[in-house]
Amino acid sequence: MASNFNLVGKDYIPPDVRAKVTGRAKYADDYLFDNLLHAKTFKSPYAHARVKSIDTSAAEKMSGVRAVLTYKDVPAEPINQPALDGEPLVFGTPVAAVAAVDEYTAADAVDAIDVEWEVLDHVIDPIETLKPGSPNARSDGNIPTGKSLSEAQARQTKSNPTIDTVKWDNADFSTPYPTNAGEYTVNWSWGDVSKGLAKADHVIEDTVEAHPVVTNPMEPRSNVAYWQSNGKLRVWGSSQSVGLTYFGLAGAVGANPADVSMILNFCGGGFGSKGTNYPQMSIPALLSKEVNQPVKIRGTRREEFYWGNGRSSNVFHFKIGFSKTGRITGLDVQTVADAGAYSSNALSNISGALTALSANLQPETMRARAIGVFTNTPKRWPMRGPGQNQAALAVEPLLDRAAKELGIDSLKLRLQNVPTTGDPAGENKTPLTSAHLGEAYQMAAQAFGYDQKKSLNGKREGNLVHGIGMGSASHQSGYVGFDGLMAIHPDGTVEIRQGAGNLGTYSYSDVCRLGAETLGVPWDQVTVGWGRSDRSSFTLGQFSSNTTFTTGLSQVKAAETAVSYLQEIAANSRGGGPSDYQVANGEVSNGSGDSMTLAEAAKAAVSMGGKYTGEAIPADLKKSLNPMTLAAAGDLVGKALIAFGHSGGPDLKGFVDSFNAAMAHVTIDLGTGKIRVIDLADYGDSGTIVHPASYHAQIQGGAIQGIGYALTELMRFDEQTGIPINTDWYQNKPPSILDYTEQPLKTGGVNKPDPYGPHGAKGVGEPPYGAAASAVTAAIQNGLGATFQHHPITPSDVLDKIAAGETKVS
Amino acid sequence: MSEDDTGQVPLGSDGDPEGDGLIGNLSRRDLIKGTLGGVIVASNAYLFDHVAVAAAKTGTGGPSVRQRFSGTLTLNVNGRKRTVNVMDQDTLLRTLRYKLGLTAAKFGCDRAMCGACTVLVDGKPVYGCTMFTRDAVGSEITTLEGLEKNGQLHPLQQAFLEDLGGQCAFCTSGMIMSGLSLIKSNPNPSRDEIKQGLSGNLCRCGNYENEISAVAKAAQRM
Repeated sequence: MASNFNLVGKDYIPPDVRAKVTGRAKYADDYLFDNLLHAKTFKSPYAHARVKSIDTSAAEKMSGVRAVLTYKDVPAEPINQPALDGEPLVFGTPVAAVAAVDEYTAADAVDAIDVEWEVLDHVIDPIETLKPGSPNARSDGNIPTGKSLSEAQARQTKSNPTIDTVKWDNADFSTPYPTNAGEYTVNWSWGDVSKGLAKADHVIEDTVEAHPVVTNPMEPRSNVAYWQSNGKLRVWGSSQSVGLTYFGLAGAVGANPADVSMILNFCGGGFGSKGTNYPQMSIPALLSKEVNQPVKIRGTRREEFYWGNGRSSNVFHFKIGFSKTGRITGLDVQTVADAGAYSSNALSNISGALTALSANLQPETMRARAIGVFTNTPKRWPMRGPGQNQAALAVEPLLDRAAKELGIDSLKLRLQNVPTTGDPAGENKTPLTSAHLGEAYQMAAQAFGYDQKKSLNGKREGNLVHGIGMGSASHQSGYVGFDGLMAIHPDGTVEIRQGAGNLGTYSYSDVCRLGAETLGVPWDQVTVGWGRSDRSSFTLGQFSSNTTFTTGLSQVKAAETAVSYLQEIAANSRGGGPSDYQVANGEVSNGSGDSMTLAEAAKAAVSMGGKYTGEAIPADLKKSLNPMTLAAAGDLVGKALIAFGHSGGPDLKGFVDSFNAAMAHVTIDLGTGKIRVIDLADYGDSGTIVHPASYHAQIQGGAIQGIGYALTELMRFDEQTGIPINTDWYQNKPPSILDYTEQPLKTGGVNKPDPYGPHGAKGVGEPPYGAAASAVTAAIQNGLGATFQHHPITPSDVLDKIAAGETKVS
Repeated sequence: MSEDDTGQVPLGSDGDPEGDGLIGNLSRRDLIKGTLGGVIVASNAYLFDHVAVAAAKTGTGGPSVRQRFSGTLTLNVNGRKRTVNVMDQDTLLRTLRYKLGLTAAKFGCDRAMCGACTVLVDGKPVYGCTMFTRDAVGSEITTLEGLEKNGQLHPLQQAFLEDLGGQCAFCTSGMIMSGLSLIKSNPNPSRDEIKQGLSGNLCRCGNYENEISAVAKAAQRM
């Protein structure tokens, strides 16, 4: 248990908090420049169209306009959205961009651009595009193909899925989910599901949709770029991550990474949508290149609704077999996934969703079939997960339904099926490095008062009916192959040049706590480095609930390097062998009176040079360190003890997965349809909890967002034109402070270490969301005795069910 | 932000810097004119009959330009007199951020939907995005930057610091200003009253519980 730590598991005040409460924290739109130009974009008014001709001459002639670019001037992208597109595939896609002396002038110039359009067929519904003779969202096809990779893997391996066309010629589309489905691009099995279903005592079959929502971080994506005539490009950007954003942007605009630097200190939320670079970041860079002045694009809220990324959607068809005790004997899942027109993210959705189903439910047999499609809807990226939370929303209420129909307790059914350490996950049945979902459920049940509350389910109280439900979710949360970097200065301070971005999770600082724990250095001697690409070690992006494990592990590796150097330096200086020495409490000592402070050791390192100061890099590290990491140490070489670390294959065997379980109590007003969440408990298995206050905040935040997913948020499109119609917060509402439980949510964690995690830590960001959302939708369905195939579940939906006589409310 | 060389300020067709009156980049004026440009060839073309496409403003080099008020105003911000050059349509948020460098108040939506731009005007919480700068002349404007005195954090700032009152913290400035105004009018607010007081501030990170506890803690200390 996490009881012997100095830093891990203890709360502290991270180094950016004072700036946040004083207003000194600078987000991309807060940097002020003397000669700043402002950019606006000319956007497509159609769901799918092609530019026949574009005339920017009037805009160019306008006083105050300094540069105009069109899609002809920017690099193309095979699948992903180019900065400007001549065949915009989504309403609102930028086609041209203007840089002018102020925003008003820029907007006028945009109005003065004339485009002749060829309007093309569009498709909004993912099932529609599989019908023979139906439109394709893209001229080059309607499905992304290739290996189902998580976005993280795709970025790491630089693999580019391709595009194809698939129609289900023989399917019957008259049912909610097509029967006699055609080709799937993803097919895998655990055992023989037909046998598993055949032996089941009870089978539940249903079609359920997980709907698209807009990510909508509080900070719209603004970016400032200054591409100087000497080739150096500096960007003050809004991004969750550093390394991937930096390399991604350099690639997108055709700059040499060595010439690019990014300032990414503060990001006003991302939730996946700003996980790496994105087209709006390219636009000011390309404009700046024309004029050798800084150019800002100030993102607007409305733009977030159609280019701010959102959650990909699924239509699932489940056939689940249960034994009479509630054990899942067979899980047959088919899904069509949709991530919009500009993203192959449907493949990540599928991979994430199917893996999560297998991991959380541990079916005895399973068959997974899936296909991703393109539609002319806003590009979707992971939003608190690419697909795991969609799967949770869709499947968890079915488990409660099975429990009800089998006459057994819901929690008992869940506990029959939860994974434990070593159980398989995903297509390849990779063993889970740790799994304590059962304990998370029990902790949630305890905090929630499940034994007392469960009898409330279906109980009438005047016009209200009570509903009790539960759900769980998971997300892969650990990767290896990344770098850490620590420097011990001659003054004894330990500077940790970690590479995580800062979007509000505090993981950029918590990974330094992990490294500092290994080094045994008092926290007040530690300087946390973050927010500058030229001082960041290379790590994975801040998504996928992974930072604490992935970046934390790479920093622990760097600390281990530092420890071994300190031992060698102490032996060299004080005598004996390195293994005689221990590093703790800010010094290296042998317990018999020979010791050096970190400052003394660093000074000795500087005089010894070689690998101790980065003047020589050990061969194994040289092979594996990213150039970004080496460059991040550049100004320190020869001046401090420099310790690199790299996490690799031997550091991880298995599948790192974090889990959450939630229980919800709702009331439904049968007269108005209004749903209130009365109580919600959400507990997680995230390995060792590193920073308790932030851990609880992540669960609360995820749960509250999840309530929005369940009850109020949805991307809606005009059926005929495909144009998004609810593009502001009044019509597409995220939870306000009045829209969740009246009393505080109940949150916590199992806090058992993962064998591969840095000091046992895993990750937390995403599972709380799906667990909460599914618990709420399950509670509604349980309380009403109704099933819902579509979400969100709004008052109108409730009243429709009541009017149709499809509830069991007395 | 500055006017252009001629001293005149070109306007978008409805004075809206986002030119975002209706659909995408279409302006209200163009839609009313019903201008249709371009050839439509798809089978669903008839659906777009009502969608107007902005026509080029040809020839003479720009939309019609009107002389607008622009002038120098004196504002009272955080207890100091500040002189600013503003345009008629500049909002308080825009002036605070870009003319005075007080960037704590944020553009969350620029449409009075989120509260990220909340500042105090004569002690009352106001969405800075929806108040004209010229209308703030003569009032006491307080922003987050005005709370810290001689390196000492205001009790609200201290409470937000201790209770992790911000995750991404983009909403934090607005939250603190709303909290300040609440406590001034209700020194001992209940949990429910705190929620009501902060109900005009969206927090997408969902950090509401920490914000409530921070406001409660500050109220106790003030």
